[in-house]
Amino acid sequence: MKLKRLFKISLILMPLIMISWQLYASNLQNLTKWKGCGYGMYTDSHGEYRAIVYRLKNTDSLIQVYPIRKDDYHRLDESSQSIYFKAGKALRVASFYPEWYEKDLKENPWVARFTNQEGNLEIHRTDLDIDNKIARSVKVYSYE
Amino acid sequence: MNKALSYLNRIDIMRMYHFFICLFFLATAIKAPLIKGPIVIIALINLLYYNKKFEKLSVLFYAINFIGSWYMSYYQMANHKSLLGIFSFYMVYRLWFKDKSWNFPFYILSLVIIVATLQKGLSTYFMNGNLIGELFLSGTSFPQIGHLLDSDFSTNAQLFNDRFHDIKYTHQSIALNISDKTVAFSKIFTWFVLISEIILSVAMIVLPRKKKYYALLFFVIGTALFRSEFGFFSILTLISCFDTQIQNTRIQQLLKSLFLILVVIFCYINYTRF
Repeated sequence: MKLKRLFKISLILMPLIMISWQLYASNLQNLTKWKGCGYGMYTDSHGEYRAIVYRLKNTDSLIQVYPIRKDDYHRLDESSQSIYFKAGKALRVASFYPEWYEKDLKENPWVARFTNQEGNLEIHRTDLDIDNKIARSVKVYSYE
Repeated sequence: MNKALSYLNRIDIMRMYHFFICLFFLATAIKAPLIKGPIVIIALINLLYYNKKFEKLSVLFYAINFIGSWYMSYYQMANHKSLLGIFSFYMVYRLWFKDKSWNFPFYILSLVIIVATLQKGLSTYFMNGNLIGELFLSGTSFPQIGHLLDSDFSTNAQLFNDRFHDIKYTHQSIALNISDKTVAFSKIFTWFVLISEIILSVAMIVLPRKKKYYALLFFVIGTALFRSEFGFFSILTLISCFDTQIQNTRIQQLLKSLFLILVVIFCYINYTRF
Protein backbone atom coordinates (compact mmCIF):
# COMPACT_ATOMS: atom_id res chain seq x y z
CA MET A 1 0.00 0.00 0.00
CA LYS A 2 2.86 2.31 0.91
CA LEU A 3 4.59 1.58 -2.39
CA LYS A 4 1.36 2.22 -4.28
CA ARG A 5 1.01 5.65 -2.70
CA LEU A 6 4.67 6.44 -3.25
CA PHE A 7 4.34 5.55 -6.93
CA LYS A 8 1.24 7.67 -7.31
CA ILE A 9 2.97 10.68 -5.74
CA SER A 10 6.11 10.20 -7.83
CA LEU A 11 4.02 10.16 -11.00
CA ILE A 12 2.79 13.64 -10.13
CA LEU A 13 6.17 14.88 -8.89
CA MET A 14 8.11 13.70 -11.93
CA PRO A 15 6.60 16.14 -14.47
CA LEU A 16 6.88 18.94 -11.92
CA ILE A 17 10.60 18.30 -11.47
CA MET A 18 11.17 18.06 -15.22
CA ILE A 19 9.25 21.25 -15.92
CA SER A 20 11.12 23.17 -13.20
CA TRP A 21 14.48 21.96 -14.49
CA GLN A 22 13.60 22.77 -18.09
CA LEU A 23 12.51 26.30 -17.18
CA TYR A 24 15.67 26.82 -15.15
CA ALA A 25 18.10 25.31 -17.66
CA SER A 26 16.59 26.87 -20.78
CA ASN A 27 16.42 30.35 -19.26
CA LEU A 28 19.47 30.49 -17.01
CA GLN A 29 21.75 27.93 -18.64
CA ASN A 30 22.20 27.20 -22.31
CA LEU A 31 19.78 24.31 -22.74
CA THR A 32 18.22 24.57 -26.19
CA LYS A 33 14.56 25.54 -25.87
CA TRP A 34 13.49 22.60 -28.01
CA LYS A 35 14.89 19.92 -25.75
CA GLY A 36 14.79 19.04 -22.07
CA CYS A 37 11.33 17.48 -22.55
CA GLY A 38 10.43 20.00 -25.23
CA TYR A 39 8.47 22.53 -23.22
CA GLY A 40 10.02 25.37 -25.21
CA MET A 41 9.42 24.05 -28.72
CA TYR A 42 9.06 26.75 -31.39
CA THR A 43 10.25 29.50 -29.05
CA ASP A 44 13.66 29.64 -30.71
CA SER A 45 15.11 28.32 -33.95
CA HIS A 46 15.76 24.60 -33.92
CA GLY A 47 19.15 23.25 -32.91
CA GLU A 48 19.30 21.25 -36.14
CA TYR A 49 20.02 24.46 -38.02
CA ARG A 50 23.40 24.86 -36.38
CA ALA A 51 26.80 24.47 -37.93
CA ILE A 52 30.37 24.30 -36.69
CA VAL A 53 32.80 26.33 -38.78
CA TYR A 54 36.46 27.19 -38.64
CA ARG A 55 37.31 30.83 -39.29
CA LEU A 56 40.82 31.33 -40.56
CA LYS A 57 42.74 34.03 -38.70
CA ASN A 58 42.47 37.58 -40.10
CA THR A 59 40.19 36.49 -42.94
CA ASP A 60 36.48 36.16 -43.60
CA SER A 61 36.95 32.61 -44.86
CA LEU A 62 34.81 30.03 -43.14
CA ILE A 63 35.64 26.35 -43.46
CA GLN A 64 32.68 24.08 -42.87
CA VAL A 65 33.42 21.52 -40.17
CA TYR A 66 29.96 20.16 -39.40
CA PRO A 67 27.60 19.25 -40.95
CA ILE A 68 28.96 18.53 -44.40
CA ARG A 69 26.79 17.96 -47.47
CA LYS A 70 26.06 14.41 -48.55
CA ASP A 71 27.99 14.92 -51.80
CA ASP A 72 31.05 16.15 -49.91
CA TYR A 73 30.76 13.20 -47.54
CA HIS A 74 30.74 10.74 -50.43
CA ARG A 75 33.81 12.41 -51.92
CA LEU A 76 35.80 11.63 -48.75
CA ASP A 77 37.97 8.53 -48.63
CA GLU A 78 36.77 5.61 -46.56
CA SER A 79 38.80 6.37 -43.42
CA SER A 80 37.71 10.04 -43.43
CA GLN A 81 34.09 8.96 -43.83
CA SER A 82 34.49 6.69 -40.84
CA ILE A 83 36.04 9.46 -38.70
CA TYR A 84 33.26 11.88 -39.64
CA PHE A 85 30.54 9.31 -39.02
CA LYS A 86 31.91 8.43 -35.58
CA ALA A 87 32.30 12.10 -34.68
CA GLY A 88 28.74 12.96 -35.76
CA LYS A 89 26.94 12.60 -32.46
CA ALA A 90 29.56 14.49 -30.44
CA LEU A 91 29.63 17.32 -32.99
CA ARG A 92 25.84 17.60 -32.99
CA VAL A 93 25.69 17.85 -29.21
CA ALA A 94 28.61 20.27 -29.15
CA SER A 95 26.83 22.56 -31.61
CA PHE A 96 23.82 22.57 -29.27
CA TYR A 97 25.83 23.16 -26.10
CA PRO A 98 29.14 24.75 -27.12
CA GLU A 99 30.19 25.78 -23.61
CA TRP A 100 29.72 22.33 -22.11
CA TYR A 101 31.45 20.38 -24.85
CA GLU A 102 34.46 22.60 -25.56
CA LYS A 103 36.99 19.93 -24.58
CA ASP A 104 35.19 17.18 -26.54
CA LEU A 105 35.00 19.41 -29.57
CA LYS A 106 38.63 20.48 -29.52
CA GLU A 107 39.84 16.91 -29.02
CA ASN A 108 37.55 15.49 -31.66
CA PRO A 109 39.61 13.76 -34.39
CA TRP A 110 37.42 15.22 -37.16
CA VAL A 111 37.78 18.78 -35.83
CA ALA A 112 41.53 18.28 -35.38
CA ARG A 113 41.82 18.03 -39.16
CA PHE A 114 40.87 21.69 -39.48
CA THR A 115 42.64 23.23 -36.53
CA ASN A 116 46.18 22.80 -37.84
CA GLN A 117 45.87 26.26 -39.43
CA GLU A 118 45.61 29.37 -37.25
CA GLY A 119 42.01 30.35 -36.60
CA ASN A 120 38.91 30.00 -34.48
CA LEU A 121 36.18 27.45 -34.06
CA GLU A 122 32.72 29.01 -34.20
CA ILE A 123 29.15 27.84 -33.84
CA HIS A 124 26.69 29.37 -36.30
CA ARG A 125 22.92 29.19 -36.27
CA THR A 126 20.50 29.81 -39.12
CA ASP A 127 18.00 32.39 -37.96
CA LEU A 128 14.56 32.65 -39.42
CA ASP A 129 12.71 35.95 -39.68
CA ILE A 130 9.40 35.43 -41.43
CA ASP A 131 8.33 38.99 -40.67
CA ASN A 132 11.22 40.45 -42.68
CA LYS A 133 11.30 37.49 -45.10
CA ILE A 134 14.94 36.76 -44.51
CA ALA A 135 17.09 33.91 -43.26
CA ARG A 136 20.64 34.46 -42.10
CA SER A 137 23.59 32.70 -40.55
CA VAL A 138 24.42 34.13 -37.13
CA LYS A 139 27.47 33.43 -35.02
CA VAL A 140 26.26 32.23 -31.62
CA TYR A 141 29.52 31.12 -30.03
CA SER A 142 33.22 31.48 -30.62
CA TYR A 143 36.09 29.62 -28.93
CA GLU A 144 38.39 32.62 -28.78
CA MET B 1 -17.59 0.32 -42.68
CA ASN B 2 -19.33 -1.90 -40.16
CA LYS B 3 -16.34 -4.22 -40.13
CA ALA B 4 -14.01 -1.30 -39.40
CA LEU B 5 -16.23 -0.05 -36.58
CA SER B 6 -16.54 -3.51 -35.11
CA TYR B 7 -12.72 -3.84 -35.23
CA LEU B 8 -12.38 -0.50 -33.45
CA ASN B 9 -14.79 -1.71 -30.76
CA ARG B 10 -12.83 -4.90 -30.26
CA ILE B 11 -9.31 -3.45 -30.32
CA ASP B 12 -7.79 -3.80 -26.89
CA ILE B 13 -6.33 -0.60 -25.50
CA MET B 14 -3.24 -2.40 -24.21
CA ARG B 15 -2.60 -3.63 -27.75
CA MET B 16 -2.80 -0.03 -28.94
CA TYR B 17 -0.17 0.95 -26.40
CA HIS B 18 2.18 -1.88 -27.45
CA PHE B 19 1.51 -1.03 -31.09
CA PHE B 20 2.61 2.55 -30.47
CA ILE B 21 5.72 1.53 -28.54
CA CYS B 22 6.62 -1.01 -31.24
CA LEU B 23 6.19 1.39 -34.16
CA PHE B 24 7.69 4.36 -32.30
CA PHE B 25 10.96 2.57 -31.53
CA LEU B 26 11.03 0.64 -34.81
CA ALA B 27 10.89 3.90 -36.79
CA THR B 28 14.20 5.05 -35.34
CA ALA B 29 15.71 1.67 -34.39
CA ILE B 30 18.51 2.14 -36.88
CA LYS B 31 19.91 4.96 -34.71
CA ALA B 32 20.40 2.79 -31.63
CA PRO B 33 19.54 -0.83 -32.48
CA LEU B 34 20.98 -2.28 -29.27
CA ILE B 35 18.73 -0.14 -27.08
CA LYS B 36 15.65 0.12 -29.24
CA GLY B 37 15.74 -3.38 -30.75
CA PRO B 38 14.81 -5.24 -27.53
CA ILE B 39 11.92 -2.83 -26.91
CA VAL B 40 10.59 -3.44 -30.42
CA ILE B 41 10.83 -7.20 -29.93
CA ILE B 42 9.12 -7.08 -26.52
CA ALA B 43 6.31 -4.89 -27.85
CA LEU B 44 5.89 -7.21 -30.83
CA ILE B 45 5.64 -10.27 -28.58
CA ASN B 46 2.98 -8.48 -26.54
CA LEU B 47 1.11 -7.66 -29.73
CA LEU B 48 1.11 -11.24 -30.92
CA TYR B 49 0.74 -13.21 -27.67
CA TYR B 50 -0.97 -12.28 -24.45
CA ASN B 51 0.65 -13.20 -21.18
CA LYS B 52 -0.32 -11.16 -18.15
CA LYS B 53 2.96 -11.56 -16.29
CA PHE B 54 5.05 -10.83 -19.38
CA GLU B 55 2.96 -7.75 -20.12
CA LYS B 56 3.49 -6.41 -16.59
CA LEU B 57 7.23 -6.91 -16.88
CA SER B 58 7.25 -5.38 -20.36
CA VAL B 59 5.54 -2.19 -19.24
CA LEU B 60 8.00 -1.94 -16.35
CA PHE B 61 10.83 -2.37 -18.86
CA TYR B 62 9.44 0.44 -21.04
CA ALA B 63 9.22 2.72 -18.00
CA ILE B 64 12.77 1.90 -16.89
CA ASN B 65 13.93 2.65 -20.43
CA PHE B 66 12.31 6.07 -20.18
CA ILE B 67 14.05 6.74 -16.86
CA GLY B 68 17.30 5.90 -18.63
CA SER B 69 16.41 8.28 -21.47
CA TRP B 70 15.58 11.09 -19.08
CA TYR B 71 18.88 10.59 -17.32
CA MET B 72 21.09 9.92 -20.33
CA SER B 73 19.60 12.26 -22.90
CA TYR B 74 17.55 14.85 -21.05
CA TYR B 75 19.24 17.56 -23.07
CA GLN B 76 18.11 15.86 -26.28
CA MET B 77 14.62 14.88 -25.25
CA ALA B 78 11.57 16.11 -27.16
CA ASN B 79 8.07 16.53 -25.78
CA HIS B 80 6.46 13.39 -27.20
CA LYS B 81 9.10 11.15 -25.63
CA SER B 82 8.75 12.84 -22.28
CA LEU B 83 4.96 12.52 -22.29
CA LEU B 84 5.21 8.88 -23.39
CA GLY B 85 7.52 8.31 -20.42
CA ILE B 86 5.04 9.86 -17.98
CA PHE B 87 2.29 7.77 -19.53
CA SER B 88 4.38 4.59 -19.24
CA PHE B 89 4.78 5.24 -15.53
CA TYR B 90 1.06 5.63 -15.25
CA MET B 91 0.68 2.27 -17.04
CA VAL B 92 3.06 0.61 -14.57
CA TYR B 93 0.87 1.93 -11.78
CA ARG B 94 -2.30 0.66 -13.46
CA LEU B 95 -0.92 -2.82 -14.18
CA TRP B 96 1.19 -3.47 -11.10
CA PHE B 97 -1.15 -2.05 -8.51
CA LYS B 98 -4.31 -3.18 -10.32
CA ASP B 99 -5.87 0.23 -9.92
CA LYS B 100 -8.33 0.33 -12.79
CA SER B 101 -10.30 3.24 -11.35
CA TRP B 102 -7.52 5.84 -11.18
CA ASN B 103 -7.46 7.42 -14.61
CA PHE B 104 -4.64 9.51 -16.01
CA PRO B 105 -4.53 12.80 -14.10
CA PHE B 106 -5.57 15.43 -16.63
CA TYR B 107 -4.11 18.24 -14.55
CA ILE B 108 -0.63 16.91 -15.41
CA LEU B 109 -1.53 17.23 -19.07
CA SER B 110 -2.86 20.70 -18.45
CA LEU B 111 0.35 21.69 -16.69
CA VAL B 112 2.55 20.34 -19.48
CA ILE B 113 0.54 22.21 -22.12
CA ILE B 114 0.28 25.50 -20.23
CA VAL B 115 4.04 25.62 -19.53
CA ALA B 116 4.73 25.19 -23.27
CA THR B 117 2.06 27.76 -24.16
CA LEU B 118 3.37 30.37 -21.73
CA GLN B 119 6.88 29.94 -23.08
CA LYS B 120 5.52 30.44 -26.60
CA GLY B 121 3.59 33.54 -25.58
CA LEU B 122 6.70 35.06 -23.98
CA SER B 123 8.94 34.30 -26.94
CA THR B 124 9.55 37.06 -29.50
CA TYR B 125 10.62 34.41 -32.00
CA PHE B 126 7.28 32.63 -31.78
CA MET B 127 5.18 35.77 -31.65
CA ASN B 128 6.88 37.09 -34.80
CA GLY B 129 5.13 34.30 -36.65
CA ASN B 130 8.09 31.99 -37.11
CA LEU B 131 6.08 28.90 -36.23
CA ILE B 132 4.81 28.56 -39.77
CA GLY B 133 8.40 28.73 -41.02
CA GLU B 134 9.41 26.01 -38.58
CA LEU B 135 6.56 23.89 -39.84
CA PHE B 136 7.66 24.36 -43.45
CA LEU B 137 11.16 23.37 -42.45
CA SER B 138 10.27 20.36 -40.36
CA GLY B 139 8.62 18.97 -43.47
CA THR B 140 6.14 17.25 -41.23
CA SER B 141 3.18 19.58 -41.36
CA PHE B 142 0.31 19.64 -43.77
CA PRO B 143 -0.52 23.32 -43.91
CA GLN B 144 -3.56 22.77 -46.11
CA ILE B 145 -5.06 26.13 -45.25
CA GLY B 146 -2.10 27.70 -47.02
CA HIS B 147 -3.33 26.44 -50.36
CA LEU B 148 -6.56 28.32 -49.88
CA LEU B 149 -4.69 31.54 -49.22
CA ASP B 150 -1.92 31.27 -51.73
CA SER B 151 -1.86 29.20 -54.92
CA ASP B 152 1.96 29.05 -54.79
CA PHE B 153 1.99 27.94 -51.19
CA SER B 154 3.47 24.51 -51.89
CA THR B 155 6.14 25.81 -54.25
CA ASN B 156 7.05 28.56 -51.81
CA ALA B 157 7.27 26.10 -48.93
CA GLN B 158 9.57 23.81 -50.91
CA LEU B 159 11.77 26.69 -52.09
CA PHE B 160 11.86 28.06 -48.55
CA ASN B 161 12.92 24.67 -47.25
CA ASP B 162 15.71 24.16 -49.82
CA ARG B 163 17.19 27.63 -49.47
CA PHE B 164 16.97 27.67 -45.69
CA HIS B 165 18.82 24.38 -45.35
CA ASP B 166 21.54 25.69 -47.66
CA ILE B 167 22.43 28.50 -45.27
CA LYS B 168 24.03 26.23 -42.71
CA TYR B 169 26.52 25.20 -45.41
CA THR B 170 26.99 28.46 -47.31
CA HIS B 171 26.50 30.99 -44.45
CA GLN B 172 25.04 33.49 -46.92
CA SER B 173 21.88 35.41 -45.99
CA ILE B 174 18.95 34.87 -48.32
CA ALA B 175 15.67 36.63 -48.90
CA LEU B 176 12.79 34.24 -48.48
CA ASN B 177 10.32 33.98 -51.29
CA ILE B 178 7.13 34.04 -49.24
CA SER B 179 4.00 35.94 -50.17
CA ASP B 180 2.57 38.66 -47.91
CA LYS B 181 -0.48 36.49 -47.50
CA THR B 182 1.66 33.70 -46.06
CA VAL B 183 3.26 36.11 -43.59
CA ALA B 184 -0.19 37.38 -42.56
CA PHE B 185 -1.38 33.80 -42.23
CA SER B 186 1.58 32.94 -40.01
CA LYS B 187 0.52 35.72 -37.61
CA ILE B 188 -3.05 34.46 -37.46
CA PHE B 189 -1.81 30.90 -37.05
CA THR B 190 0.42 31.97 -34.13
CA TRP B 191 -2.60 33.28 -32.23
CA PHE B 192 -4.71 30.29 -33.23
CA VAL B 193 -2.12 27.93 -31.69
CA LEU B 194 -1.77 30.00 -28.52
CA ILE B 195 -5.49 30.40 -27.94
CA SER B 196 -6.35 26.77 -28.70
CA GLU B 197 -3.68 25.55 -26.26
CA ILE B 198 -4.85 27.90 -23.51
CA ILE B 199 -8.45 26.78 -23.99
CA LEU B 200 -7.41 23.13 -23.90
CA SER B 201 -5.34 23.45 -20.73
CA VAL B 202 -8.17 25.32 -18.97
CA ALA B 203 -10.71 22.78 -20.25
CA MET B 204 -8.59 19.94 -18.80
CA ILE B 205 -9.09 21.47 -15.36
CA VAL B 206 -12.57 22.97 -15.32
CA LEU B 207 -14.70 20.70 -17.53
CA PRO B 208 -16.45 17.62 -16.20
CA ARG B 209 -14.53 14.45 -17.06
CA LYS B 210 -16.63 13.37 -20.03
CA LYS B 211 -16.49 16.77 -21.66
CA LYS B 212 -12.70 16.74 -21.46
CA TYR B 213 -12.66 14.13 -24.23
CA TYR B 214 -14.71 16.40 -26.45
CA ALA B 215 -12.21 19.19 -25.75
CA LEU B 216 -9.31 16.88 -26.60
CA LEU B 217 -11.04 15.67 -29.75
CA PHE B 218 -11.77 19.20 -30.94
CA PHE B 219 -8.20 20.23 -30.20
CA VAL B 220 -6.55 17.30 -31.97
CA ILE B 221 -8.89 17.27 -34.97
CA GLY B 222 -8.84 21.07 -35.20
CA THR B 223 -5.09 21.59 -34.97
CA ALA B 224 -3.23 18.31 -35.58
CA LEU B 225 -3.31 18.49 -39.34
CA PHE B 226 -1.82 21.98 -39.34
CA ARG B 227 0.97 21.30 -36.88
CA SER B 228 3.81 18.84 -36.74
CA GLU B 229 3.44 17.48 -33.22
CA PHE B 230 1.88 14.19 -34.25
CA GLY B 231 3.76 12.30 -31.54
CA PHE B 232 2.42 14.54 -28.81
CA PHE B 233 -1.11 14.37 -30.22
CA SER B 234 -0.92 10.57 -30.53
CA ILE B 235 -0.20 10.30 -26.83
CA LEU B 236 -2.98 12.75 -25.99
CA THR B 237 -5.47 10.50 -27.77
CA LEU B 238 -3.91 7.36 -26.30
CA ILE B 239 -4.39 8.79 -22.80
CA SER B 240 -8.02 9.49 -23.62
CA CYS B 241 -8.59 6.00 -24.99
CA PHE B 242 -7.35 4.53 -21.72
CA ASP B 243 -9.89 6.32 -19.60
CA THR B 244 -12.29 3.92 -18.01
CA GLN B 245 -14.99 6.54 -17.75
CA ILE B 246 -15.61 6.88 -21.47
CA GLN B 247 -18.68 4.79 -22.03
CA ASN B 248 -19.71 6.41 -25.28
CA THR B 249 -18.88 3.95 -28.08
CA ARG B 250 -18.82 6.60 -30.79
CA ILE B 251 -16.31 8.73 -28.87
CA GLN B 252 -14.15 5.66 -28.25
CA GLN B 253 -14.27 4.75 -31.94
CA LEU B 254 -13.33 8.29 -32.93
CA LEU B 255 -10.45 8.42 -30.46
CA LYS B 256 -9.15 5.03 -31.48
CA SER B 257 -9.26 5.76 -35.20
CA LEU B 258 -7.68 9.16 -34.66
CA PHE B 259 -4.95 7.50 -32.62
CA LEU B 260 -4.20 4.92 -35.30
CA ILE B 261 -4.02 7.58 -38.02
CA LEU B 262 -1.75 9.87 -35.99
CA VAL B 263 0.56 7.04 -34.93
CA VAL B 264 1.05 5.85 -38.49
CA ILE B 265 1.75 9.41 -39.74
CA PHE B 266 4.09 10.14 -36.85
CA CYS B 267 6.09 6.94 -37.10
CA TYR B 268 6.35 7.19 -40.88
CA ILE B 269 7.69 10.75 -40.58
CA ASN B 270 10.15 9.64 -37.90
CA TYR B 271 11.28 6.81 -40.15
CA THR B 272 11.87 9.10 -43.12
CA ARG B 273 13.74 11.66 -41.03
CA PHE B 274 16.29 9.27 -39.57
